[in-house]
Amino acid sequence: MPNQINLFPSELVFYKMFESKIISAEGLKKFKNFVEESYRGIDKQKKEFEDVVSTLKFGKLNEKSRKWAIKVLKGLRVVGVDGSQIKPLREFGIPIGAVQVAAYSVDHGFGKWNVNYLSKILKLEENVDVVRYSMEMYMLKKKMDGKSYLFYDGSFSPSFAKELNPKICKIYLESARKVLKNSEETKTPVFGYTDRSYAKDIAKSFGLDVYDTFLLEGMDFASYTEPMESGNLCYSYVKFSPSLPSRIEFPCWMLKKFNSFIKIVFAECLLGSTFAYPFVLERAHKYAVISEKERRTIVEMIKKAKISFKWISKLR
Amino acid sequence: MRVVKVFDRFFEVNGNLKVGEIVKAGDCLGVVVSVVGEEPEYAKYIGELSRDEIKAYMPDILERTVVSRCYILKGMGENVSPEVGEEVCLVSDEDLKKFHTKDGEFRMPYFYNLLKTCDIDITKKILLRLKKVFENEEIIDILIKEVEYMMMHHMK
Repeated sequence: MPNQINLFPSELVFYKMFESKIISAEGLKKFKNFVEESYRGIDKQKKEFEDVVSTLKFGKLNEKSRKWAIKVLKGLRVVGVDGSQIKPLREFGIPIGAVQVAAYSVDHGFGKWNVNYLSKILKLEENVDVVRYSMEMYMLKKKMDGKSYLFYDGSFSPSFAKELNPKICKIYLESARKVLKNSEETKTPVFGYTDRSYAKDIAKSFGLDVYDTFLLEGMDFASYTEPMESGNLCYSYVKFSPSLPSRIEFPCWMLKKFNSFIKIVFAECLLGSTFAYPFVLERAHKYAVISEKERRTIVEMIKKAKISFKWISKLR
Repeated sequence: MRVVKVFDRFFEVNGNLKVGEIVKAGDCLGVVVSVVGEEPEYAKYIGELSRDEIKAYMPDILERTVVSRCYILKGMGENVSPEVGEEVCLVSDEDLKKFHTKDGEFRMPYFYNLLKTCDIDITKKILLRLKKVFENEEIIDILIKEVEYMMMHHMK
């Protein structure tokens, strides 16, 4: 087996490559070995993990019923923001994409609700992911009225952004920064909720290279880590389901009232269909998603309009 | 309400209409032949909360999505079907008159196909609506009687 360290980066790409399909006897065996190897690596570090976890502070919520949740949420206006997208070419066969962002708002206890949308049709040259993120952040800003509690399905410090080109990275960080700033100015609480987080903030601060959620796998149900600060952002890990913990992020000004805010997050999760994911985000996702039927409708409309690649290229 | 799907001689509308109602979609006229309601999402959230509590705290999960299927009676031109996304509304008496008049005379060219394809009761509902618009058209009275006879015959 070649020594991985001695390989050039270009050669590293081909290291452990194999000549068969992923879904084949060989492919599945490699896949299984890869997963087992990763778990063995984690197991080896378990003692170190335990040492790290023992230095962290945890809180716990004792109430776990929906009856308790509605008491917490009574009279609160809670808004969930989520988006969806159609990438150009891959799904269309033509260079047009689309982004649709929904903000679902509910006045708990009063039976009032509504959905607002922001949408955009994109050209091939535009980065769909970055446009979607910017639009989601814009929607959050629009909903900051000093009365509502906002939930966003994602992170305000997307870990992948730092790996992108500096121009794109700047757009991500700038959009999120504006939301955090506006939240403080309008005193509108906002939570970024990441169900499956791949952040390594805690682990890295202890010199470990593992996802924080793996590190915290053993957290008790209905518990949370005391919030930690990272620049202008605070984060905490919450465990509201038997699987890995989720990550919540919020601006630092909210730190003082964290104990009451965490109850709102947990109450929203208890209302959700899985008891582990905020109800308002579940609804926002439902309204934001561009269904298969809608995708087909768009494709049909485009076909009828006889839009061709040649035609679009002339627009540029 | 808008057209969400078009197939053969039918189109579907995302709205709660009544069977037998006549609608207009662009240059087309259609009659509602069935209404299908998707189950509300209530079942996913069922648990310790009462229906009233759900209504107060999670109101939209009680709402049903309804799709009304319409049979295309007539296009202004031949073989016309509505576009997906076209706005749909209940047809006015004025439009109904326009759709059924040619050279100053009452016309109902879809009658035979309607009887072949749709419930006979729907045909009767259309005729009764037309009778209100074309009060003096004896042919409509005859058709109503014919349809009633067919219904009786069918019952036998």
